[in-house]
Amino acid sequence: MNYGLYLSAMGVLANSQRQDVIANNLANAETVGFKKDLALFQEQRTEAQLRGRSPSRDSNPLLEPLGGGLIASGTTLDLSQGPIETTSNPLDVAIMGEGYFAVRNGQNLMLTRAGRFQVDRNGVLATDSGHPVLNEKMATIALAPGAVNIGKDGIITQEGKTVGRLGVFSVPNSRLLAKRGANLMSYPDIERSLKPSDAQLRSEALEQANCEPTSELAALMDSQRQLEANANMIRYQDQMLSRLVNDVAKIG
Amino acid sequence: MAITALNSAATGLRALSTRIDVIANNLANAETTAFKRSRMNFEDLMYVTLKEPGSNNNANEPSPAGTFVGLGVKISNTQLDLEQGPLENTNRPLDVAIQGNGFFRVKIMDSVGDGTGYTRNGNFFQNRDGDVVLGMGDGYRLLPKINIPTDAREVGINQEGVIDYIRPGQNTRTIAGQLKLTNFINPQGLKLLGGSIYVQTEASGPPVDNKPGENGAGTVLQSFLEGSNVDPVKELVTLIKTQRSFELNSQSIQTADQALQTIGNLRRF
Repeated sequence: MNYGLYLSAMGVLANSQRQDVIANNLANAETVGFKKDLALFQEQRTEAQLRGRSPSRDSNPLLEPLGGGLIASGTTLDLSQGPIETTSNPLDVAIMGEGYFAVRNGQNLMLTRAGRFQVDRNGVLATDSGHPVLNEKMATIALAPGAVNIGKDGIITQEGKTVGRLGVFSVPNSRLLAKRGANLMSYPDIERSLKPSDAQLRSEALEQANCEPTSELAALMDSQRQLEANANMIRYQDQMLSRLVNDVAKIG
Repeated sequence: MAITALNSAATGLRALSTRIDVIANNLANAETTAFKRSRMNFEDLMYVTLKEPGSNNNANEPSPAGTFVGLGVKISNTQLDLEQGPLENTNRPLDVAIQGNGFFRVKIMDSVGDGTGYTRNGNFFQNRDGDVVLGMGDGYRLLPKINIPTDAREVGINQEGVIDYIRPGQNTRTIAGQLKLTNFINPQGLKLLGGSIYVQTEASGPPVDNKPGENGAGTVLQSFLEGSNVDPVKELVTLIKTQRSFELNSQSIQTADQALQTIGNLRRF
């Protein structure tokens, strides 16, 4: 069969997956603390290379240098700072720089950049989804009723008295962060990996999503055209095969 | 495949159009006494993990990035913004504004919760028996009950919420009662009932009655009403952003649709 047909099909599939990633970025354009994903492509190695065999025996040596087409190799988080939008809520906190809030999700520790906090009915500081947010010593933060002030270093004061400190942490290798939905991210072996971060906080502000409409739309158009180009290649090769099968051998 | 992109963009369209509903309600209530604006919060929906980061590749080395395809966006909640609204002078003795935290407690329909509602709208009237009731809705009675005789003159309410008046033919002031303010540990967890009435929920915590000015409760101000805390400029900016994001998501739908069309047209005879 025509080898190029498969290469073109890989191109359609990879670009289609890229569109899925962009659609998710755009759907979350208004999600606080959202970090966009980038779809990564890489050249697929040939079957012989993957299996560590010499290409000579069981494959066509002429096709080996072509490679195995394109494959969606992964997604990577774009952790660049999102724009800061001021609010008037003293429990809205934005992180300026690299750092994450630690929250308790059942038994698990999770990380988030969405500093949209509330005081739950027991007086514990929690995210708006109800996950308690932790202080620098990984304990929950209890607040008294009344006005709250959160400083640049995360120190929480009520009526002039310090009542706790918001923990801001960094991770050793941000590529191992995995988004789990609900604005939460997980990290392998999180209890031992977290280090205090020196990122500054800003209260009465929220970090908006870092997906930028122009580049997202450009990527969307780009992937659309690449998808069409690959689809056209499939059609050409199909026509070529059709000629070969139906026309070349025609007699008279 | 492109179906995922279609669905993700659809979640975006749905969430963003709900946010337009919330903004429209805020703007409609820009002149409503003691109205508190709501803010719509979003969160990302779940992710399909095609490959965990750190999983081994063909060369038995941990791959630096995983493959996650997100499935769109979800509404997390609408959050009440309880910021103080502006105070407007009304020159009416039974108009009371709360400066700071707290709600007035009123008796509402028995069918709702424990029959108690909370409001910051202090636009009070006297009913025919002289009881202090709310001007709006069904004339909900203030709790604890306060009675001002119908022939009373010069009704006064001080900052600590003590209501007094002068009876005809007398020179001394008689105390009618004490206004109480109710606080909640998490007032954003209250349920909105409409008509400026909030009711207690599991999330808000139990109500705590205080005299105005005590234990973090605000003070009261006679002859003033609290205006709506909707900031039209802020709402309009959010509206514009929301509309543009809505359009962006419709672009995702179009692109995904074109991709499906391209694939659907591959086979031609």
